[in-house]
Amino acid sequence: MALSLTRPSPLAARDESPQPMVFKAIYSRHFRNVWRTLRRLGVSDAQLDDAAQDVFLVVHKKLDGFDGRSLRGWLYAIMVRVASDYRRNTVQGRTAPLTEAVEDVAPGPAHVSELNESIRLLHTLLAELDDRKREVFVLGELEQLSAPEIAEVLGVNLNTVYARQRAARQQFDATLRRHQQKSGGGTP
Amino acid sequence: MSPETQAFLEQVRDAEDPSPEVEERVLLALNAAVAAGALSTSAGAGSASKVAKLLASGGASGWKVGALGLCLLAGTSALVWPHEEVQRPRPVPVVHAPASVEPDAAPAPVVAPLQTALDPPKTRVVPARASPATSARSPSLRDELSLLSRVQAALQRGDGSEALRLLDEHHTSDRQLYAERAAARVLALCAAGKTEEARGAAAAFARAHPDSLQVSAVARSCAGKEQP
Repeated sequence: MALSLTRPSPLAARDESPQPMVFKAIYSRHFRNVWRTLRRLGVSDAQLDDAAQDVFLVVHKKLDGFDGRSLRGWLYAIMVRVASDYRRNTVQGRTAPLTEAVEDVAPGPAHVSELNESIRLLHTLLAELDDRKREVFVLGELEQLSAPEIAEVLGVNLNTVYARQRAARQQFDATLRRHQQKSGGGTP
Repeated sequence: MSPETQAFLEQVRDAEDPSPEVEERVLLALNAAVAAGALSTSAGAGSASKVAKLLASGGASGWKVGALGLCLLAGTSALVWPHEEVQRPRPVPVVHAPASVEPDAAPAPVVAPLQTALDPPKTRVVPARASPATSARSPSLRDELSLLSRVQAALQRGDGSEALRLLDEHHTSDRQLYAERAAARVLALCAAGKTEEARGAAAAFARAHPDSLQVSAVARSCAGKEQP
């Protein structure tokens, strides 16, 4: 894992076992984000449940040793590694077609349809990025981590993040423009 | 990136959420995996998933095994009671009753006096950081989780008064953690031998958080039957 555990964890249980209350708070607060981020990092819908479960199994196992410094960063580091493993092990791990698993987020069928189309387009565009650019793009542009945070999550230096971000943004921008031109000029 | 791209990202950034059914399904599978002791990293994901799916797909017998595992692990690694939670439409933070607090057992033998913030501290020394001067600002998630960790530790020791003191000293504005604190308060009142107060708190909890997965766990505490 990219994040180092250098300070005693304020969350470390005084006994040996993970504390259910703390873990469940983390699960409830972060499940949606974990699920969404794994999906955007290229885990197929068929494997999303397993991947999300694996993320939280790691959290459950390592929570005692967590130093409490940045839960968010720690979770992202786990997600990136789990997503990478699943992408490597899957034949069709790229584009994630929209399924009924995505909750409707807005009232009105027209708005829902438009939003669903946008989400589908997002995944099409993300699938066109290579894994390294995709990770940086998802963490930066969608999850809104700072470049230093991304560097820590991925375990790379800051200049590498900047370079990948530039390349990812350029590619995403160009690809979206191409799609919009094909569909008649506007964002779906 | 162009303004159009920025606008597109703005539109989709928070637009993709799993349904409550998915959240619950994963939690159930997680429970099964933890109960089966399949605490693995992604390298062992296959085995964890297989065990979880084996337990989940075993029908009644599978869930008996899973539920038994959860009974044995109650208060340590177990998360929720799946067979009681399957019908819940929307999962929210849950608090699992610690092993030392048996739902049907008699109240703790030590009946603490009425707990107030001015009560003298218990024998356990609470570090200074346990009472940070944060009343002027919202606590961070780290502070919240640290507090819940200490409340849990107090409950596991059977120290309901300490758990109540911690809950009384700190407040949260986080909607999800508020439900968890409310459930923890019921358990703490039970551990402190304050059954009537626990019942009142449980009734208030059920009214405020009717869809909480923890309603059943609260009902299994000294607070009695689940409120409608």
